[in-house]
Amino acid sequence: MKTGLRYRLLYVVVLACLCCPAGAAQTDLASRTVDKFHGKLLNVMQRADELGYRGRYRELEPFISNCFDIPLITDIILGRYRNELDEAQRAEFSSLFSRFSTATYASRFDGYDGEEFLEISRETMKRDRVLIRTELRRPVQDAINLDYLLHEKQGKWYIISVSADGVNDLSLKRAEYAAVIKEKGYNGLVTDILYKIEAMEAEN
Amino acid sequence: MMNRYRLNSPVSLLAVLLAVALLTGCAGTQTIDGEVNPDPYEDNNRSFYAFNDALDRHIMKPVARNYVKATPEPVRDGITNFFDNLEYLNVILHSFLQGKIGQGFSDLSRFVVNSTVGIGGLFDVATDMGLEEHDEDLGQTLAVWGVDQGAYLYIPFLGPYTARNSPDLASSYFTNPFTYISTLFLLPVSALNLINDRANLLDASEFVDEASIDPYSFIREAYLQQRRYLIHDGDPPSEGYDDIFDIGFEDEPKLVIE
Repeated sequence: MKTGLRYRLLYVVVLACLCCPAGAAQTDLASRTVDKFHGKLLNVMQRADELGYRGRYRELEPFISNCFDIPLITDIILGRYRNELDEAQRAEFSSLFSRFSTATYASRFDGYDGEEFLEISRETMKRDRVLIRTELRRPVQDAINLDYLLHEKQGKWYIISVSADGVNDLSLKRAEYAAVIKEKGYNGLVTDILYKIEAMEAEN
Repeated sequence: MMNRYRLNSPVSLLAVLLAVALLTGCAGTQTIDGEVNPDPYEDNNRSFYAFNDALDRHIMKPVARNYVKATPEPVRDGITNFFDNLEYLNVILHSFLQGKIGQGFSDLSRFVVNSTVGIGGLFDVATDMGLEEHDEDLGQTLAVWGVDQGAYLYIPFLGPYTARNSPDLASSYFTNPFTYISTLFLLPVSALNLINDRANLLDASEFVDEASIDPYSFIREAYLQQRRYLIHDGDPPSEGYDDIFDIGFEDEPKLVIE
C-alpha cells in the first residue's frame, strides 16, 4: 500500500473512532428524552382511571414542557405569520399550544391495555438533529410507528417533531393553522384552540 | 386502507375515473411561493367535504354507533376479515405489478389460506401462520412506476383521493369477486360493508373531531402523508425528514397552502 494512502486510511479510521463515541453519546441523550416521555405516558396510562383527565393533564404538563421545544414548534407551525406577532403574542401562543398538546395527550391516553414502547433505530440528521424511530406495540391491534425528531438546545435534548405511521404532526398543524389564519385571522385561531381545550375538559 | 366502495356501472365508473385523472393529472403542479400546491381545487373539495361530513354526521355515524352497540366485537371482526379478504385480490395484483414477487406469492397464499382454512375469510388464520397482511393498490403501483401524485381530490360519498390514486377505484372494483354477483345480493352486502367500515373508523373520526381545528386541512394532510408512507411500505427515507426546520431557519417560512 502506498504510504500516502496508508496515512489517509489511518486518518479516516482515527476520525471515525473520534466521531463515533460523540455521535453515539448524542443519540443516547436524545433517546433518553424520548424514553423519559414514553415512561411518563405509560405511567399515566396505567393510572388513567385513578388520575382522571385533570390528573393526567397535571402529570403530563411538566413533561410536555420539558421534553418538547414548544417555542420552536410553534414558530414552525405559524410559518411566516409568526413575523406578524410580537414577542408577547408568540409567548402567549406557545403557552396555548402547550396546553392544547397536553390536553390532547391527557384525553387520548386514557387507559392501559398492555401497550409498550420500543426503540427501533437512531439516526443523526442535518444540523446534528437526531431521529429516533420507535414503535408503540399493542397486544390486540397493529403496532404504530412513532418517529421523534430531536435537537439540542442549551445542553438539553428536546423533541421538535413527531410522526405517527408517517403522518407528521408538525406538517399537519402547519397546514391546518394556515387555513384557519387565512379565514379567521390569528385571533380566530386562538379562539378555536381555546374552544377545543374547553371541549376536551368538558367531555372528560 | 383498501378501498371498499363501488359505483353501479363498470363502464360509467371507468369513464368518470379517466376523465377525472385526465383533468386533474397536471393540476398538482401549480405552485404557490415556489412550492407545489397539492390542492388546486380546494374550494370545490371543501364543498364536497361539507356534503360528506353532513351525510356522515346525520346518517353514517349514528348508524355505525348503533351497529357497534348491536354487534359483538368478534362478529364485527369476522365481517371485517371477510371483506378484507375479498378485497385482497387487488393487493395481490399490485404486489406483482410493483415487482414484489415474493410478497405477491405470500399475498396469494394468504388469500388461499384465509379463503379455505379461514372459512371464506371470516377468520384471519394466515397472519398467525406468518403470512403478513400488506396494503397495495393501483395508486401505489403508479407511484412506483413514476407517475406524479397529481391534484388532491375530495370525492362526494368516497372521501379523499389523489388524481394518481383515483383509478384504483376501478382496479378494486374489477378485482372484487362481489362485482360479478347479482345486484339484489350485492346491495345489502355492500351496505353492511359500508357500515362496518364506518364503525371501524369511529375512534379515528372522534380523534379528528377532538384534535383538529380545521378538519378539512387535517384530513388532507394526513391522507397525503399516509399515502407517501404506504408507497414506501411504511419505511420512508429519512432524507427531507427535517427540511421543514431548514425552511424556517434559512428563509422566510413558506406556507404550502395560503
